[in-house]
Amino acid sequence: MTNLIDKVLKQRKDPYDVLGLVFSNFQQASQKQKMPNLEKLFVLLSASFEIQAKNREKDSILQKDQKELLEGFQKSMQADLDRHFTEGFAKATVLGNRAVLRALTWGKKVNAIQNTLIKRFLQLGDELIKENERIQVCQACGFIMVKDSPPGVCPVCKAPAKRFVTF
Amino acid sequence: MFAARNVELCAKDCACLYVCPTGATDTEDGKIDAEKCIDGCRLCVDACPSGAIHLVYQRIPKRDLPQDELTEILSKLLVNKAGLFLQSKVVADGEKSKNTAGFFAGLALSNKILAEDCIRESGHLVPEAERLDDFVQSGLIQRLYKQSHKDTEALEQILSTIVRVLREHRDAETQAVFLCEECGQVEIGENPRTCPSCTSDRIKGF
Repeated sequence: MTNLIDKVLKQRKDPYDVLGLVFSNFQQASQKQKMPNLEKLFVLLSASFEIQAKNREKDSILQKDQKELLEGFQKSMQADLDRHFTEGFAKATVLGNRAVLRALTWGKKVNAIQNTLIKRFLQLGDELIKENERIQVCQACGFIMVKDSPPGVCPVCKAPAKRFVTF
Repeated sequence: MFAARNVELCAKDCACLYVCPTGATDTEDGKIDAEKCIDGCRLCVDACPSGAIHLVYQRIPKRDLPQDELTEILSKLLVNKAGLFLQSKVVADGEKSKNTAGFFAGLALSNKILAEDCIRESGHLVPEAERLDDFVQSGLIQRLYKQSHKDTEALEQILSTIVRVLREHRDAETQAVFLCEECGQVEIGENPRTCPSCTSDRIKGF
């Protein structure tokens, strides 16, 4: 844990958002381990750090208009594609770490799909989502699409429709 | 290892009732009684025609951390995806148009999943007592929290409870916990009604 967080700290001094995600990840793990009381404590900590992260960043995020913000997203995603996914694939292949390869394979696909959706949103705005359509997200891998109902199986990770969340 | 039932798959075949030597499966709340369940017995798991019962490890096998260079790359991806998650969430929460709010909320969740995946594959699939204790001892959680909250006593108490539960490999009832939805202050025990840090009354109990 400290090894990962030390590396995060080299990039960001106050990683409130990352701590929130560390706790939300453990929240899910506790649920799977059938430890509802422990889960509750992680829910609390995850929510607390998400609120703190939002309070600190809110003003600077909302200062930008949505176009500027999304162009920033695209830049960050392109950097991930050019460097982190590519380097990660090469290293994980050489080292034979299949778990990391799995995460990078799905992550890279989702990264590309998000990028396409952002491009379309920049062109169409609100019209991206037509009447009766909604945003569908696969909770197993992060796959995102616009459709009236979730697909039968996730095209990226093959999770069934019930793993989808609709917005 | 104790047995647990997935009620989504359970078809009330009730084979588990006949094979269980202790009656642990004979409950009305859908759950198998872990107190009565015999460690590693698995008779019900094999008997269930619906495949609705599985064994849950109490002592989770320790997972190796990935090679340092991989953790380095995963940490960079994690920081980027966490940033996109937070920005999308903030926009979604303040957005009036339903479509635009849905678009950003979807992006937030999608990036949250990618970020959590980086944490999992850095070797933290499940919380482990020792590793989490080291993390708590490093003081980062407390340092960040202190920047907007004076009192860290409840936070310390919650963190030590988590480490204790993990060490004992056993879920335990804890005192009620509360969250200030305005500033993220955490409390344990009594409901503070108003937040001691920001005086908001948006207190949520768990």
